[in-house]
Amino acid sequence: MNADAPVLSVRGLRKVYGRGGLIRLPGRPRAAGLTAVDDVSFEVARGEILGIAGESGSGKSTTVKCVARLIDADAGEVWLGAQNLMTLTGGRLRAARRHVQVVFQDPYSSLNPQMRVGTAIREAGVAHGIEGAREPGFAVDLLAKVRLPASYVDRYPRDLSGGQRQRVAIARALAPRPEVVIADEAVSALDVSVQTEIVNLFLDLRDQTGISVIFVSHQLSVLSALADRLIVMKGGRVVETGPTREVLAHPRDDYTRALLAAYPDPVAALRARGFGLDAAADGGDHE
Amino acid sequence: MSDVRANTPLLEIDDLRVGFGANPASASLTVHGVSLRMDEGRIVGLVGESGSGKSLTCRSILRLLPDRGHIVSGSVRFDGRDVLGLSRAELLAFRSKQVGMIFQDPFSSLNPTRRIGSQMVEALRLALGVSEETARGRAVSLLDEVDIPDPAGKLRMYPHELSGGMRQRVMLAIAMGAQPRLLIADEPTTALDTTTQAQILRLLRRVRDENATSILLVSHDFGVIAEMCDEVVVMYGGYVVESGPVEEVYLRPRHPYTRALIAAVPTLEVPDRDYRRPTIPGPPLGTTRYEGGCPFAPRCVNARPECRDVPMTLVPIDDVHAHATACPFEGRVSA
Repeated sequence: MNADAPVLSVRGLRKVYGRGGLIRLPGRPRAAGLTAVDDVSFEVARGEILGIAGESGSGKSTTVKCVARLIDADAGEVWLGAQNLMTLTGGRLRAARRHVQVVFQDPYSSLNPQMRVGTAIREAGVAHGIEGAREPGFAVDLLAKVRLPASYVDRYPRDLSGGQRQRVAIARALAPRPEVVIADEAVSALDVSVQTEIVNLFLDLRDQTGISVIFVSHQLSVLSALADRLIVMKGGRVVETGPTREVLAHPRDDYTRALLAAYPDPVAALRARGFGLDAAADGGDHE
Repeated sequence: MSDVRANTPLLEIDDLRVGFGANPASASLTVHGVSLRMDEGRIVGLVGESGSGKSLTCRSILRLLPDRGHIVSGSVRFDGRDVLGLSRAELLAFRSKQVGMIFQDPFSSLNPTRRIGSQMVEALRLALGVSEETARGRAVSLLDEVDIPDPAGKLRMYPHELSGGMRQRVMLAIAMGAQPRLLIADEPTTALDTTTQAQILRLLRRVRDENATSILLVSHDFGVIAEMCDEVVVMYGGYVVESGPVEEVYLRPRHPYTRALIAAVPTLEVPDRDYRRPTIPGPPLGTTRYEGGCPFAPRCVNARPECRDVPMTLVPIDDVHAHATACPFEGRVSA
């Protein structure tokens, strides 16, 4: 296989919600539906972290759910190597799904509260027929990858902090040895300092394993340190795309500019309020 | 007004201890002696991570603690009045008329089965003792004041028909209905998009500027705090570790935790590929047993043996600013 070929290639993805499928009220016309994703195309290279930015309703979350085949798209292709995931069914879809794993916003609701951490991780491997997934060392190795101690295999989700739970969710996503991990607002519910820990973890995992990551976030300040490339979505469409540095330094779309302007920058805020920042260097000498 | 009145802060929390257990005597403490003072028309930030005790502190002002939660000792005075000594009836009046509160998730504080209008009318009638018709008229003007388009139409809607930002505006309108002197905003923008967050923050600032409402703003994000607040109180592990004017604390932090928290604020700068943004090392809050002394010591880069039993009292740093730190190794340089 060509080393430069993208791991994942999405073409012309389209998803319309609520077109009045099964239930139609008598006398009501067929609903026009809401086009949540409209002709979205992108590629993810091996070892690349692609950030998808946008606000609620921009279609970013629907896009990745279609890519992972958690919901069915109305049109488009999702190529994983030589397979188009959109056309797969049954056993072949299950086998292909192994390679695209998802981490969600709220690890508390995505982890079974009654299942120990070790069991949850092992089951994710067993479900996809990973060799050695039943061995005790399997979960321990994955916990080490997300920098949690081996003793955590016996803990329950409730014994963990929010950041630790998200690490477990990442370990479980890595268990089937996927080629792509999709993180859907995976740090949005966490404290600022814990967000950075998870961002750093994804960077290290990428550097160590060459995994590809699609990271969805409404916070450009999270994506700025993480993503190699950015896609900005609005109203179901891609409004801007490019290398992260380029998009943030020279945004071309008005919407991207509005997102950047809304970021609460403490230094700029204090300066705008007339607090001189040059005084910061003088060690606190005031009149 | 007399000088005595002018010197009375709107809100004064003194040595507040909150704990959980079957009764106050056996409760294990989660808020350890928090003191805080707010003047009329000020925006004070309460900043810290999950588990720092910031939400419990502000719920104590309304005596709205979760099950098995108790105020173990300390005092809360509002405009000179002892809140903890209020009778049941006085407390209800205090909650509905003097203090408004908005939370992180407006969806869980609105009843999903009732229209916005009926919920607003109920709250307004309770707070203002007015007729249904008057309350309905007031509801329309309140929604208008928080920049909700077509306010009359919105009264007929259910919470799920509104966006997150709109729901937070509705909550703010309800909270402001009684024209409270204090608004407690507990992570009001954490669940919102960045541009919606900016709009809600602007709205909160306008509420203060136009009505002189004091705002206690709880947040884990120093970016939001710096943009909004006059003063800031930094909490960790149930203690106040530092407090002072926001520009003093942000520009000249004098507690290692405050410095770590400020360093963790994400920026829009794109770093080099090998760069990792600084995090706060060590065990996260709530995953280790508190053994006394400084709660931040297990994660502090400057920790030393004495930290295990330092008294967590706030000591002023200088005489000019009301800037104080609980770290004895960062305090005033002795003469």
